[in-house]
Amino acid sequence: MSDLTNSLNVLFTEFYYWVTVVMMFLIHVGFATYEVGVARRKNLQHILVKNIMVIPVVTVTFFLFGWYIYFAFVNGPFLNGGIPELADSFWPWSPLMGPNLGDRITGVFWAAFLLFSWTAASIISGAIMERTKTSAFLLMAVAIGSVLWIIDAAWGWAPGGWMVQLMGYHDAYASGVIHAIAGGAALGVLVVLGPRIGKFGPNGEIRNIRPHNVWMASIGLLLVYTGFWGFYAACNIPVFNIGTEAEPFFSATNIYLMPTTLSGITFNFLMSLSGGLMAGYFLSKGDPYWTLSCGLTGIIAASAGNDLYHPIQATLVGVAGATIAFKGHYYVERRFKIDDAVGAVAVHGYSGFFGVVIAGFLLWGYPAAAPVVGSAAPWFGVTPDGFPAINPIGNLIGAVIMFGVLGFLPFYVMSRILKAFNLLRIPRRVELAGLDTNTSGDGYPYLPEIETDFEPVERREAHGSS
Amino acid sequence: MPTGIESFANPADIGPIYPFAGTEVALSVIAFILWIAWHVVTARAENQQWSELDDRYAAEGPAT
Repeated sequence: MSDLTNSLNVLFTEFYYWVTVVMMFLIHVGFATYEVGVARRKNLQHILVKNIMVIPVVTVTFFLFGWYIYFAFVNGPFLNGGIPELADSFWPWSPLMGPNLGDRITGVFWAAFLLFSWTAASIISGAIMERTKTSAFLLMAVAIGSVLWIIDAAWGWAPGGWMVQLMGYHDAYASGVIHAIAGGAALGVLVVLGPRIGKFGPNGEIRNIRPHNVWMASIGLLLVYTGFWGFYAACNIPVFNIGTEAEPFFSATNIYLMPTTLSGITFNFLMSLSGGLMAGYFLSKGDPYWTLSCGLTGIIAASAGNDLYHPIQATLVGVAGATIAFKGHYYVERRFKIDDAVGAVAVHGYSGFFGVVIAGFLLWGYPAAAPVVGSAAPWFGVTPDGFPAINPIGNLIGAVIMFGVLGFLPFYVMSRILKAFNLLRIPRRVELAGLDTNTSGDGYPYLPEIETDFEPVERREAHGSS
Repeated sequence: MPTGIESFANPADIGPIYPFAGTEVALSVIAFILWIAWHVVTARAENQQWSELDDRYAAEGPAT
C-alpha cells in the first residue's frame, strides 16, 4: 500500500463493494416488507421474525464455512482438479477473516456474497409462509445460504469454476446461481409441506388468499428492485486490466473477469425491468402485485446475459421470462396443487431457469472466462483465443444443475426428513388460529378485524378435517 | 496487560490487528458449538410452544 495509484485502486475497490453491501441490504428489507404485506394479519409478526433471523443464522454460518466452500469447491472438487490451496485462507480461523492491515478486500467481498445468501434464503421464506416452523426454515436458510448456493457459485460463478471452464456456463447476474436454485429449493419444500388450510377446495378449485396489505407488499417489491442495483454492481469487478501489461486497457468486468460496463448493465437492468412490468401488467390485467412481481421476473430472466445483451434483447427476454413465470405459476398451481404463497417458484425458479437457457443461445460463442492453467479441455467448444465458449448445451445443463440438482432435490429430501421428525409444519389448529395468536398477539391491536370471504371457508375446511 | 498491538509504527509489518491473535481456532470452535446449540435449543422451545398451543386448542375446541 505504498504506491499511490495501486493504493487508490485497492481502497476504491474496498469502498465499492462496501457500498454495494449497503445497497443490497435493501433487498432483505424489501423481502421482509413484501412478505409481511402478503401474509394475513394473524401471521404477520411470525413472518417478520422469520425473515429477520435469516440475517444472524446465515451470517454466522457463512463465516464459519460458507466462504471457505466458495474457494474450496471451485473444481467440484475433483471434477476439474482438487481443492485449491487458496481456500485455506478462508477458513474462519484464517488471519484474513478479520481486521488485517495486509488485506483490504476479504471482508467486503465476503459480505457481498453473504447478502446473496440472505436473498436465496428469503426467496424460500415467502413461498412457504404461514404454515412452516421457524426452526425448520432456519435450517433451510443455512442449507441454501451457506452451503448449496455457494457451491453453485463456486461451480458456475467463479472464473475458474468447473462449469465455466468445462461447459462454458455463463450467468453474469445470477439467473441460475441465485434465482433458479432458490426457486427449485422452494418447490422441493412445497411439494412436501402441502398447501395452507383451505387453499384448494374438495374439487380442486383454487381459492384466493388475499394479502393483508397490498400496498405494503408493493413497496416491498420496489425496495427489492432498489437493492437489486447493488446486487448488479456487486457482480462486477469495478477496475480491471483486460489488456496486457504492455498495453493495459482498464474496464469493469463481469464476475468472470470478462469485459462489460456499468453503462451497459444500467441499460439492460432498466429495459428488462420494463419488459417484465409491461408483460405483467398485460397478463394480470393491471394487478399491482403481479405487475411488480413480473418486473422483478423480467430482470431475473435477463440477468444471465445482461452484461452483454442489447437493451432491446434484454427487454424481450424480460417479456418472455415474465410470461413463462406468470403462466407457469398458475399452471403448476392448478395442475399439481402447489400453494406458493408469493409465486417465488415461478418468479425466481422458472424465469431464472429460462434466463440461463436463453443466454446460452443468445451469447453462443462468446468467451466465458479465461482458461485456467491445468484445466481439462472445454466440452462444448472453445473460442479462437482458446477460451471456453458460451453455448446452449452448457447453459441448459447448468440450468438443470441449479434448479434441480442443487435446488429441488436437496430440499425435497431435507423437507421429508424434517417432516418425519414433525419439525416441518405448524399444527393445524395453530395454523388456523394464526401464528401470532397467543404468542405475539395482533399486529394491529387498535384496528377492528374484518374477515374476507376466505376465513369462513378456511374454518370449515379445518373443522371438517380435524 | 497488552492483548495485541502496542504500536502502529510499522504498518507494513503488521497483519492482524484484533486482540488475542492466535486464538482463532478456539474462537471458531466456540462459535460452531454455540451455533449448533442455538438451533437445538430454539427448535425445542418452538416445538414445545406449538405443542402446548395445539393441546390448548384441542381442549377448548378449534380456534375461531
